[in-house]
Amino acid sequence: MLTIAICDDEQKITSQIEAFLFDLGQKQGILLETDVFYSGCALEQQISGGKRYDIIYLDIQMENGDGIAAAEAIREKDETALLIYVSGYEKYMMELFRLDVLAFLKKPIDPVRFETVFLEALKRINRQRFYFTYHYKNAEYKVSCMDIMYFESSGRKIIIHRRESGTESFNGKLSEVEAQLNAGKIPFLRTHKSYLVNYHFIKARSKTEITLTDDTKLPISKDKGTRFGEQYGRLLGGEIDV
Amino acid sequence: MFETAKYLLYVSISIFAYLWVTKRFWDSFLERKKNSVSSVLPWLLLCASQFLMQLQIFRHGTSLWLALFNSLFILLVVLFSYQPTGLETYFLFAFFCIMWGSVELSLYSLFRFIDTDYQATRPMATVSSLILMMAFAYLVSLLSNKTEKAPLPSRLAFVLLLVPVGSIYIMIVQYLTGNHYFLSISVFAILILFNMITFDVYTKLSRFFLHEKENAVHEEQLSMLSKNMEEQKKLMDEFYEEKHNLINELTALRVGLSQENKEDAVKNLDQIIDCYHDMGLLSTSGNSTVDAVINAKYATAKEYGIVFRLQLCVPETLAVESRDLGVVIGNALDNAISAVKECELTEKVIHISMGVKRNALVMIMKNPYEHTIKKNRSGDIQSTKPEKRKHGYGLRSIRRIAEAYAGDLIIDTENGWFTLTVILNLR
Repeated sequence: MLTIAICDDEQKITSQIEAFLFDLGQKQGILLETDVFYSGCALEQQISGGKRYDIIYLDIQMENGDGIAAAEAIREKDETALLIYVSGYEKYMMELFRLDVLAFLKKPIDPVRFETVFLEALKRINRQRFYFTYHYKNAEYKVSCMDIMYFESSGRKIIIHRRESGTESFNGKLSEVEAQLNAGKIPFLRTHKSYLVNYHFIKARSKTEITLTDDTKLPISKDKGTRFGEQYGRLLGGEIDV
Repeated sequence: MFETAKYLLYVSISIFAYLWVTKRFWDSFLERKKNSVSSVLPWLLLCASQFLMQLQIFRHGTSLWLALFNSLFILLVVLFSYQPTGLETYFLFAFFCIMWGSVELSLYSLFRFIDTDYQATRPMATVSSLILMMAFAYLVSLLSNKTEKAPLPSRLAFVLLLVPVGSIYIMIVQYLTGNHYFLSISVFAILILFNMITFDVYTKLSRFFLHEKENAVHEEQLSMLSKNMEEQKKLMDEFYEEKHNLINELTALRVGLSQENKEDAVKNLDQIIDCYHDMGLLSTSGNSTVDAVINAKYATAKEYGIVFRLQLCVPETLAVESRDLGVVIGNALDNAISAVKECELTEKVIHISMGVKRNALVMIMKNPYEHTIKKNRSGDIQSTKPEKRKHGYGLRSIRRIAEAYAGDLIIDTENGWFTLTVILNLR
């Protein structure tokens, strides 16, 4: 079941979104639980209270309360919720784009676009299901791919850097790990002889290094640079072309 | 030994020229491999073999075996220092060897015919064959489509060829009038050197002029786009002002309605609707530069019956220079429009998506195309426009800007759809 929050000060919009979601839920055969909020504060309170949402539809120019501030507060408490901005506003602030937003929906909401964005959100959520398996000391281990930020190779050892808490290691070759993950749905990119990075944790890149979502910086080697650039570019393009 | 030392200058320059010719010729057809032990070693072997050959020739005359060995080393160079391309490479190699062999043989025979003194004519024959081969290699490099077309009028090219001809003349004169044998040999050496310098300098100059021209065209494009953008920016500002006015008028209308004056209200609404009916501006991305360029180009596209499908979401303040943005979108759209306007079988549409993700501005432009896309040897797409020199700078300008932002330009041409993805990483 998916938990969805809708936050907009116009009841017309919230009802419209709820109706869309109901139809889509039926069409896709998914159970949805929707919570409606008419102010950013109310939504923030819920999230502070520990409630987690898979998808949040957020109006960024509500009358009382700053939508942007609400978005920032939400991101701080929950990194994984998918944010979808809903807005009738023509001009956007750069800050909005920094918070890892899935998409923008412009008002009046086009049902076709709403469905496309929703399906993309579903795809993202389903990614949680992919695992990476490896052997170490006669035991088999399984880690969720979306939990892995990057692989680092040091000598014959491979170190898995996880999103939360620490690292794990095992013996192997990075190129084999790369081949294994190539068959999967989550892109891992080889930026350097010793690094294999999960695309979804890359926050930004420059010519010679990438910055991850936790501000770690990893180098891009000249050798792998061109291929990485092209793969990264195609993935970025895929995110926009939704 | 002293004899050998006397000719050392001449021998070293001959070897240098020999390598120069080989490198020039093969650079025009094949890609060089990265420098490594295995790619540099063949050159060194060729150098050594040439040295031995020159020594041998000086003392005893030509040896067929040595010539064959030399060819073998050239083949090694081709196979290990360059990326060979199959059968074509071997044909080229055969052509190269035969060409050089025939030039040398004919020149030797010619000089032999003039004067049977072997000691004197031998170096002249070698020098003239080297000079002629240098000119030949230069011509080949001009004509191959791997190098960019230099803006060289053909008249000047002919004048340039006078240099090798003149050198051979000087060489003959020196031979006929000179007394000191050693000085003659050194003159020959310097003549070879002059030819090498001339050809090299000339190539570099042409490349320089080509770049200057490119820059000039680029600057022109920029100023034209700036003008365009200024106009459109004005239009957009007017648009926002009108929208603001509209809101005020609607607010006033609301007051009127609440006072239950229906007829007046309907009349006012009709007025407002008529007034704003023509607000047909297409692009509302949130960034005035983006809107400016797209709206401007849409005016042209509309005349060809082309439709734009937009999905744009860009902040107004962006860590990308307006003019860079303008050049990227403008050039991409120009290419797309010229491809789409010729389409007869598919719908005339251009899809444009823009957004900001992972601290990068991403633009995707998709359009159908029905012509054949030509690529030159390095894989760059070539202009289909008749005046090849003035146009074809579109994609190159975009790529240059993408590189400046540590970004990428990705092109896909599958299924009759041309997809351009431009990534500009924000600073």
